[in-house]
Amino acid sequence: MSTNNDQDAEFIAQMLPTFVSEAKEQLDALESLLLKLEDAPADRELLDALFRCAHTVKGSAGLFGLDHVVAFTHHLETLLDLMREDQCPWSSEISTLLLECTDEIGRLIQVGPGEPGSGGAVGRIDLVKRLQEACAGRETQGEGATSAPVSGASIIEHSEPSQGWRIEAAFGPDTFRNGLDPVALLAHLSGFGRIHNAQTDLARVPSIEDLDPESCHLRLHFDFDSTVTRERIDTAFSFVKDDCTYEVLSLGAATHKVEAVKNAFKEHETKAPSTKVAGPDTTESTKFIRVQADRLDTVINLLGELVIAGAGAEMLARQSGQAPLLEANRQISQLVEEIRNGTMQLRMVPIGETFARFRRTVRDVAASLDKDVLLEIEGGETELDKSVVERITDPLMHLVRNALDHGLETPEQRAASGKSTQGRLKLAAHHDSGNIVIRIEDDGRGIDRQRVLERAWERGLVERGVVPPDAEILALIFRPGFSTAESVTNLSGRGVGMDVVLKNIEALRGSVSVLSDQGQGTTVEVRLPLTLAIIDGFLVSVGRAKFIFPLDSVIEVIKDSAARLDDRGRGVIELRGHPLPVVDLRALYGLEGTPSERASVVVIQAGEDTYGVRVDALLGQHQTVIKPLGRMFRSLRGMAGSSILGNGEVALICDVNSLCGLAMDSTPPHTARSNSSDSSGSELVLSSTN
Amino acid sequence: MNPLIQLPDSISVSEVTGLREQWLQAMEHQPDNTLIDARAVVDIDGAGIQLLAALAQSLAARGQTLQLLAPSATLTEALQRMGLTFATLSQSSEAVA
Repeated sequence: MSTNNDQDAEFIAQMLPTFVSEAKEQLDALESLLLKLEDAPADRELLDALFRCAHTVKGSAGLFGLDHVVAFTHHLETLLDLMREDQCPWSSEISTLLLECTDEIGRLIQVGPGEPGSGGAVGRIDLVKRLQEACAGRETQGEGATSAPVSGASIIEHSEPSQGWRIEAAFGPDTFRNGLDPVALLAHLSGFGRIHNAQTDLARVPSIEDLDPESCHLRLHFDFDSTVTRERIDTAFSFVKDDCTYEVLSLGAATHKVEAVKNAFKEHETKAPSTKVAGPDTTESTKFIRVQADRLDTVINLLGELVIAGAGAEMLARQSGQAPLLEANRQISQLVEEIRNGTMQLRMVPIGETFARFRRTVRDVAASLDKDVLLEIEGGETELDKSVVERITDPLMHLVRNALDHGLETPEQRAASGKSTQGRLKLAAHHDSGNIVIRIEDDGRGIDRQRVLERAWERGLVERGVVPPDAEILALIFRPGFSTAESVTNLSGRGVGMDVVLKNIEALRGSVSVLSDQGQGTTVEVRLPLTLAIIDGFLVSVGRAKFIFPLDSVIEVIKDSAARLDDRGRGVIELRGHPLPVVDLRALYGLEGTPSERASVVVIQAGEDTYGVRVDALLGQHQTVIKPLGRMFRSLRGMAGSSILGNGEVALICDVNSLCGLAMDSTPPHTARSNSSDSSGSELVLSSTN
Repeated sequence: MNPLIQLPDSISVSEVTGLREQWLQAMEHQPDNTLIDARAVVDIDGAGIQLLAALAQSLAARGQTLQLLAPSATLTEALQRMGLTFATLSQSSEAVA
């Protein structure tokens, strides 16, 4: 027996991480359902889905012996059940309480069994008390109602005298298979009424020789005395309604047949209601295989090595000049590329999950600032690499908080400036040539240029009296040392400034841009590469140095028409009648060798902008495994990473966005240098009134 | 006489298929025995009750009556809740027969 127990303990220890991650998903679903419920407090399906979520958490916590989670969740479940039964109406206080409880369950699950986290014990006791008060609240409300009827949905059932119902139910063949049980249904009903004259009609039950024991042939009829409404009885049947034809007759008016619900014996999907409500994130999990993230990372790392080794083999094959070997290698390369695409796809997750997390932030922050904010989400299905998602959440959170804190005004201020009192915050995402573009858009007060300038003068970021172009003024908010104590609130000013946001995003080879109309709102656009691991690259050379551009950003290659360049390698050429800024990599990085006579200009798209890069030779498409640049090269502008070529040579991967900045920069070289070397940012201050 | 069938502690939807096989075999081996020992039942659901009813049905078809020996409290309660008694189990089967 003891070995059995040991095995059990081992099994539980193995499965616990799975439980924790699944429970977290359930809690996320709980949270998003609670937030949806705020928009539709009477939605029965939402309430049912909520109850199921809580019940699932409780049930699986019980399996793992997390008694403290079970005990606490039980209180939550009780309240949800009352809400489901219309005995406790929704209110914003209850909603807040339920959200706090969801957080608490998350904490309890984190702490694990045996260690209920003494720090939170007091808070938990308080939550339980409030839950119990909320539950008790409906009882006192109910008692009050019987003595002095008051209008209100929650107490209607108490104003009706106890009455009798005659209930007939025929269960469909799939009832048992769907995990439903007429006996349990009766037990449930007897919880709020008296069942008598029950009869089970066995006439349709075949003899045991002919019986499929998992098919249900039972019919039940019984009298039910209760004070509850017809709707309450329907709710009790809601779990079996797809498998059950039932009729409820009021015995008070026996001839009056209350509507009969006939959903008889139709194919049943136990989870269908929650699928409708909770969306793809929670309930489609049955279609997924759970894989530990680090296993996937290992595969992707190995794949990177495979790509490099493959490139080496291909080069050797080419040198050998053996056609069959080359052909075989080409096939292998193609397969490797397919595997690469497929594997990278495995790590892609929709950004909607991250956006959904901000719902709670927006709700809580807006409430604490007395602001009324409507959050819109667009393009939540847009996918990006999970490792990018993980690292983008904090910067995005900061931008969202900034918009709520500094951007959006209070209802009074909005009314005074002729806007609708409800502020709008929009999170949107879409794909754009190998990048994901995330926009955080608000219709608040916008950035006050004058104030930004004054602060920049004050801090010595800009020489006093000098007024730079508008875009540069906006960019000042990303400079370190821009924020001041007065602008630091406990919401957005947690020592994490816009400079840190910018740094984090640039570390992901991304970029940030700000658009702002004073009085009309601000849009922050974050542009990120879809993946951090392997990309399709376009390999070029300048002298002996090799560079790689992400293939997605290469538009075309043109012959160099001998552009005139300044001493830092910048110039402008004409492309089909339009000026195209060009940067020469040899001059920019001071590479040795003489310029090639057959130089080319690679035309690159970086967001809205197009520019050219002059290179010596084009070496073609190249599967590129991205390796980070060493610490020494972090400050190197225009480069995002490095990659190892098949022959062991190192190529530098160009950061098309920062290279764009270098190509477009028209200011004199020394200014450009100081600008570019420290153009990290700072705390965002958007208001003159706040 | 030893009982025809010794009911297990749990008769629920996950067990009914296996139990049906066992019971059919037992009935084949001891066609004259109708004694069901029901003392061990601590868990029974609708599927279990239906299986018992089907067994009663078959016995009734042969002119026999199911005899429940020492039914446990769980079984008694579940049958009562469904409005069934040991008698109705046999009666209804007779009625069908």
